[in-house]
Amino acid sequence: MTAVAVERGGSRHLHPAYETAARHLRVVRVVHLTETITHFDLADPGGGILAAYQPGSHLIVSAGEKRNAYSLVGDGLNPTTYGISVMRRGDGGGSDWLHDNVTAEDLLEVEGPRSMFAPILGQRHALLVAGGIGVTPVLSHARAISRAGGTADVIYSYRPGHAAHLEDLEVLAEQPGITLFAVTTVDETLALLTDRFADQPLGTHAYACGPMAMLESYQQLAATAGWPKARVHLERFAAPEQDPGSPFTATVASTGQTIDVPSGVSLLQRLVDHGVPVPSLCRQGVCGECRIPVRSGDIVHRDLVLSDEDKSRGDAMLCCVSRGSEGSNIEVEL
Amino acid sequence: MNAGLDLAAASYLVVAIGSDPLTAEVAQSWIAEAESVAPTTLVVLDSMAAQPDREVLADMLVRARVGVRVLIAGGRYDVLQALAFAREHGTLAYELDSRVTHERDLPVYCAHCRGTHRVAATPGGEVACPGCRRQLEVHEHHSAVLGSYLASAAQARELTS
Repeated sequence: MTAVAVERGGSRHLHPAYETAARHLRVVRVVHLTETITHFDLADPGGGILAAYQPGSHLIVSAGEKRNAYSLVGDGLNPTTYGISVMRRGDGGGSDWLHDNVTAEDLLEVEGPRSMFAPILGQRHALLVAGGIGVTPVLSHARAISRAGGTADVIYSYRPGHAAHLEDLEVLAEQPGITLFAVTTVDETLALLTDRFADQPLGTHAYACGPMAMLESYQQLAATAGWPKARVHLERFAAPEQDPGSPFTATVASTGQTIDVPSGVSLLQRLVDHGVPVPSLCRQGVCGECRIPVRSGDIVHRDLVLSDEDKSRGDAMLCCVSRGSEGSNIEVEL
Repeated sequence: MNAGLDLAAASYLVVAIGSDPLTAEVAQSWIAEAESVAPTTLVVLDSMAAQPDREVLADMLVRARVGVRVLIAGGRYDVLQALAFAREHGTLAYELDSRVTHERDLPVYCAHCRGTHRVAATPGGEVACPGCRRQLEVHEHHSAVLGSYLASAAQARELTS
């Protein structure tokens, strides 16, 4: 047998299944799941293997002028395609662009998969909660649990006529150990969450993705039911509006350069303006892409990614939304 | 630990192990406080070295729901073993509290016979292994998974031929 090393641009791995850098994948299937939700399956144009991923991972897709993160719906084990389901928001953003411009055989630039919502190793049972299009990472978790022969309670809250992937969840629920609870109103959702939080075996971890109001209720009801935060996981796809914040300064450790950050302008923007490259995606404190190390300073954390422990350590911040306290100086390790 | 009861709980499981009077006293005071907050269950065991007792505790943990706080009182051997047992059954550190009521015994893991034994020793001291009879040095190295201190042959470094 002759081994041939495959040339991969910039990757330190020889095997294509480790490729997660920006690259083009071909759209091999387009399925209209509902009036507003379309599913795209992507594959390697050369027929190669795709990088495996943790359940709950997302793919970054270049959609017109935007780069958006979309949850992968598969179980992540040895994938030959990446499936994403995209909801048209009607705001002229990247999701609308995908709906309007992409058909089978097109090439899309993607990056990742990236894992920000992984299952906790050693969980003994899972409570999975999906609201609307938040079903996508929940389906990924449910499929992985199903494949591993694990057990889960799955709550899916949707508006009638907008139940993307309901059938996929129903198929999983035919298996013993996976129970599906489908609800269509806010009151039913709250009652069901209360009921399920009260009756999960010790060792359960809960995972939710959905609209902000649902995630708020999810966290509150978990706390009321005595759940420690370490068992309550969530992924957001939107963040609350931020106030403009106070002015402060930032010092770049490697160059000693000090940068003013006025109210209403992000540290990220000021760093980029001064030629300090920082990768970013969502710019609303949700995705974690712009996390930077911090050497010193009084940080006002405003993101939804770092844990309370991370925040109290004070050695990292998401520079798209988090800032220094008024008039203070933050020394960033860049 | 035992800085005060976690009042966010939905229920409590109080585990009292062994016959030391202080164990009963600690368990009683926990129950008095816990009962006013949430439903509280008491389980009294003789020893974590006894299989039937371990089965009783396993049964309680399997029936417990998330929201429970598990409070364990007893001698050092029983508490460290019960904590490891509770973790193995899915309990997180945030859900555990404990009180060691005496230090007359200690769980040690023998690196040679690979058994966990109840011995009268302290970390840093020496003891004969009840499993393989080697003279063991008890290292100040506690495994939360095994619920025991690592011990290895005390004279191992002195053997020359």
